[in-house]
Amino acid sequence: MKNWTLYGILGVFLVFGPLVMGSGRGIEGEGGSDEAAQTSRPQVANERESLVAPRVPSDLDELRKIQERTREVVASGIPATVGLTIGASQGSGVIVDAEGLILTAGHVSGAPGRRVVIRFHDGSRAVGETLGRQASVDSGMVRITSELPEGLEEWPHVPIARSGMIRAGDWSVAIGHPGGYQQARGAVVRVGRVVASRSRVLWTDCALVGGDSGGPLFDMSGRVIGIHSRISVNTSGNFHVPIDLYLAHWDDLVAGKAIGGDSVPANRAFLGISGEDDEQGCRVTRVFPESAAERAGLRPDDVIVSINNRAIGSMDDLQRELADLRPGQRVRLGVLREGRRRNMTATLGEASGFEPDEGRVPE
Amino acid sequence: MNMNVNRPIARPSSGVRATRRRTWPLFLLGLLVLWLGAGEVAAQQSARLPADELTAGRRMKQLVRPVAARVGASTLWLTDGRQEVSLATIVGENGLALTKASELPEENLRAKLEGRRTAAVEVLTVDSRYDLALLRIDAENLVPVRWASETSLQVGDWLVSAGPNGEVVSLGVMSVQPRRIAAQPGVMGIEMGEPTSDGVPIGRIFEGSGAEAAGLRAGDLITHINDRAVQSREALGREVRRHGPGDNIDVRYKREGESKEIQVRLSGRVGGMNFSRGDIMNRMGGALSDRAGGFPLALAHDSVLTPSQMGGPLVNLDGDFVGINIARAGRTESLAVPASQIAGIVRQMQRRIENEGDRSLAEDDDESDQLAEGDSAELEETESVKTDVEPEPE
Repeated sequence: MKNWTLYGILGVFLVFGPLVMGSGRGIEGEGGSDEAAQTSRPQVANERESLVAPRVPSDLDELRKIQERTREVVASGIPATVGLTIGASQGSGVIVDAEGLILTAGHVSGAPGRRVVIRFHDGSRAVGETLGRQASVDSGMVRITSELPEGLEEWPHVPIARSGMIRAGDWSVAIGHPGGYQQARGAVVRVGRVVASRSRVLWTDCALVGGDSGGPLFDMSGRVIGIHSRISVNTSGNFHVPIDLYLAHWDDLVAGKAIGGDSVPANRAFLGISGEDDEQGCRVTRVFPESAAERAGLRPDDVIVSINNRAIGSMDDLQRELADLRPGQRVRLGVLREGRRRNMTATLGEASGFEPDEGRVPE
Repeated sequence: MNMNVNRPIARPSSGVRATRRRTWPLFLLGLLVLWLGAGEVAAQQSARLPADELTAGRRMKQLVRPVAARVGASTLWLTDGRQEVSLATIVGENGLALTKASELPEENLRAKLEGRRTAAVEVLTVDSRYDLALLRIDAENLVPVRWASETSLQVGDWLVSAGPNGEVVSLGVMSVQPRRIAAQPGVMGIEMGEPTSDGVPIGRIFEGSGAEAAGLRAGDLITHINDRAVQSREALGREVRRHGPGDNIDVRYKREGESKEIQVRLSGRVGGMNFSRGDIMNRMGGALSDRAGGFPLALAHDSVLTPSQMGGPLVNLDGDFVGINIARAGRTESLAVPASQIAGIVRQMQRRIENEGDRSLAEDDDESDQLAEGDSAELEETESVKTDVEPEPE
């Protein structure tokens, strides 16, 4: 029986170690690129490449082609994927230009101007500093400040591609340092499909875990389309920051600005229940104190059968529906209580990165 | 966040499937409305991959069935009379097979055959470094796996976890080349209370732990581990973590003022003992194997498996036998003993049986070095990035 705590696009951040939510010298408000900070952007691919069809292969030969593509993506992607240590936290990142500009997650980089130790797959090291971040979408940047090692003319790097052209069903490769960088192991590869592609989030079934945060999601041409950010309880619930959100604020991020304040990402809606699958929908087993669910009047043993008039048949369904919603949004819940149907309205809350009783020994 | 992570949360149940089937038409209807309302682009963007099209979903499993079938006669499910506990891989004539040793039930071990028949299984010996048990399965028509003459696996290559008769248990890709996997620290399964000048009191005992089996109780004051005085939680934790799962430690304690000593057998993980953020995240998506480390060589792949799906063969897209699944180690990670090691391991086990007449599940005496120097350094490193959470388990 499934029994889990329900989030919207859940936010368990994938940083390994304490979360960094430090305050930065930030500018408030979004948008407004700084004309003084016109920096060179890496080339951005705008075209879809269909080296691999976005479908379940029709035969084993087609699957072998995916395997061949994957090997190439791995060969170019691993040298550019780095482990980042910032304070007591560890995450991942990916180098996207010859001068050593690194994309990572906002909750990995934290405030601008922090010192970063960068570790490569082959064990070599460099140092750098954090640049800007946009906390509301969880984007962040780091720049390598070390000199290039002898014999190296540029930092190993990979191209980026617009995420707007990514569709559900596309194949993808995730690389990162789950559990934090380990030299004897190096970077870790996973392959999966895009479950959904939204303007604010990419969702894949490439399983991620703590330490992967900030690592790259590649299309099958080896171009970065997203940056690992957070996960849900299902192994198929893995969420990445779309590259388009970096491109929208590229110059500000490079210039080291904290965009949109210092809140935790705002796209993690929180209903505040634990539940289990029931024949008619989701049976609530627990209502979190002071949560959206409690304010709406939900009680244990209520069965949620619809959300915004879309039928809910399982905890999976409910989670999928919540994945598209944002904190502060009002949702209509169809609820069965003692066999009688009633409607409730909940104003979704926001999940903090680390819920109060996570980490405690469960009773 | 109450994750309830000690419960198996991600095993698909028939109930889920049934309900999902019921909601399909409604889901399609929703898409259709969007299509009509906002045109094709919106419909595409709101599209979600159906569950049976996920990377390890029904349709991909269907696709790789012929690959799994290549070892279909070389694997069987093992049961304890109530449920499947693991898979066995046939590695030699006369039903010689390997499985994961630490998942073996204490009694009623049988192998499932066609129909409802089962076969007797004898445990011949155990290699505790790899956590592999050598079995003799009393059944006809078992075909040993064939060692491919040369198989060069690359990171990113597809791997299929096979069951009997072409069953696809899971699939994924190789994530990391074979490497040594550090041992996990052992745990007694207690929560530590506020230390006194004498020692560390037990706050509570976790169910199913070695501490419980040894008869320790909440309130007992632990004073020594292996004759070393422990006056702080850190000291106690350090002494315990010197040893791996399966090791015995001597625990001296005071109960009602009286000093006593007992032996506690350490385990890997105990359900309910989740003390680090990393541990919690690793359990998001399913239960993990109790013994998930301390292997001399293992490859990592991203296939989602459960602890009761270990011991079976892993094949590449050509159907070549490339390894035996040995541990579910984390949310992103299943581990397998590479095929290149298997023949040597089996030969060693057979030699030991001949030399010692070892036909029981006797304790290995030469494995006390499970936690080598390098391991403890790594473990300490892991420790230092844990979040500080009270109460502190040992």
